[in-house]
Amino acid sequence: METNNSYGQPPVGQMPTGQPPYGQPMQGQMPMGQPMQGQMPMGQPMQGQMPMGHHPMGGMPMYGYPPMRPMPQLIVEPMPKLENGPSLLECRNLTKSYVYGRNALDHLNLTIEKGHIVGLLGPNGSGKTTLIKIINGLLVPTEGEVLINGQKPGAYTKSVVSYLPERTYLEAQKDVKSLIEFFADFYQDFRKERAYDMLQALGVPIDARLKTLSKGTKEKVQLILVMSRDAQLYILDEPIAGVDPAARDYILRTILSNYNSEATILICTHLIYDIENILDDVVFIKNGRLVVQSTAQKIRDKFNKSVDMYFREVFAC
Amino acid sequence: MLKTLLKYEWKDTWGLCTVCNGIALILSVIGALMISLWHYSDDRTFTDTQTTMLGVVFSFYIIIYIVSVFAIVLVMKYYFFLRYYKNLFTDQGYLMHTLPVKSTDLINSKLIIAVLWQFITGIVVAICIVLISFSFTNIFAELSITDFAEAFHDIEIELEELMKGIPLIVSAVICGLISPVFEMLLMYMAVGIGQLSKKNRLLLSILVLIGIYIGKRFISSLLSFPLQMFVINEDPSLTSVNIGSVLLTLAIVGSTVGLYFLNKYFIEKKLNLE
Repeated sequence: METNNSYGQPPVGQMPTGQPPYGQPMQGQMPMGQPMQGQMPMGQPMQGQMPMGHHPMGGMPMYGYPPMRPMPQLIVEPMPKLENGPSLLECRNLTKSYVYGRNALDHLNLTIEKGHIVGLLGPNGSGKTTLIKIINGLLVPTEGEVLINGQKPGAYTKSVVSYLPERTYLEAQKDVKSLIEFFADFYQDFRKERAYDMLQALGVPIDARLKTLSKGTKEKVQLILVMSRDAQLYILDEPIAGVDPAARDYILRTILSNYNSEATILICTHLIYDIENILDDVVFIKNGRLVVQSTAQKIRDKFNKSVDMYFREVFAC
Repeated sequence: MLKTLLKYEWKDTWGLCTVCNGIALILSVIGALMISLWHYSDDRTFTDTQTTMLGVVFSFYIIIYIVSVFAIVLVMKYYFFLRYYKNLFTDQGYLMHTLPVKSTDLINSKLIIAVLWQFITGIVVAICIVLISFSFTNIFAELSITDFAEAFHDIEIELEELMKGIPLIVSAVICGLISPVFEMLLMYMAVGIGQLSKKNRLLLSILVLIGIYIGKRFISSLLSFPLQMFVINEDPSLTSVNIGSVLLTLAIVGSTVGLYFLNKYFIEKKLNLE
């Protein structure tokens, strides 16, 4: 089979052998909400384990002491480099401290190469969005540095990175058409025809002002603008959070069909189950530190679990 | 890319600015017409603001007019302050700061358009004042061509005198040109400081701006007092006035350059789009 990376994975947009179509559970992966073989249903005690909230010695209820869970094995395997020259994205000792104490990022080291779809995953407050903002030059790190193609965030890096923030950031007064003109004027890699095609497919009126559109439609417009670029690195922060399930399928298909195999997509989301079938790699962040970096396939093979299940175990409360 | 940024900055601002300046001009023309009408009319009911309805309307209009022109000048100034804040330090900043442009291009585009509109507003306000003043004094009705010639001759004589103080004139021109830039950069600095806060950024920016104005007034009176004393008491010659004006201009130019780099520093090193 034709491969596009060192993991022996198929080209982007094509599912690995044996992987079911998007949205279907994989072999060894249970549908969401159902327990896996050897695993008790969620909320039910395992063999030899007392039900949560009960004292092990008797029938007395126990408050505030959930049973200890064994820490799952964590894998940190940096992506192999395919070619000479700088990596697409490199975070060196990256730290972001806020005035009010907490470190949002804590000496994070992360390297991402070209041609991957990477899931940037972690619980709330783990530092994902802070990392994304630093990559895009919206926040300045307290320590360490970020390099994109060997360069610090600046005019050049912004010309090769296409970023979708997790919020509505476009001027509400502008209409969709003028936003397309705006993007086309500033980004040389912006493809107007692609944008119009996607708008038509999603039924977004091009003459409508943004303020007249629903939240979901605004998010679709933003995603279309971002995915209509031929960027080297796409950074999508919660791209499917605000849209209905039907549109999610279209958006994921859009992401896959509009991205070239030389580019990398970094997707940050909580909806792991919805996107895990398109991920080549996953990166887990906890308390601003890298805890897992691996291929999605390796997690499935090694732990016989879906990425979603593995995530739940790693970040179990 | 600066050209493209300027294009969009102009496109986004011209509507409101044109409306504001247009209102000022229309109000002035109406006011000037009313005054001229009164001047040519034998009926003096306009002037009797106490007893006649027309007189009340007329005086009310003049009050509205003066307040409107002041309001327009203020709106024009603070609109660009708010725009800078909203465009670069709120959600819209996610777009502006991810455009493939230098941080200096972002500042320059905002600054150039804001200053340009300050000049346009200055010209419009000057036209308004001239229109109303001329209507009140009715100079148009009484002046002849010879009057204009005499007036120009007087100006010529005045200019000859003034030419002796070329540094003073040059300084005044430079100050006149650079003052709007200085004022805008002061506002931008207030926004830059305000955005360092986690909450209530706009409020903090406004408070910083008020603080800056108070500080500026204090410093300028502190500096101007000894200068005035020196000029009046010690050396009232034109040379000392020239030296004083050149020093003042250098101080304003220096502060403007310093403010520019401070704002660049805020965007490049202290940007905080949390």
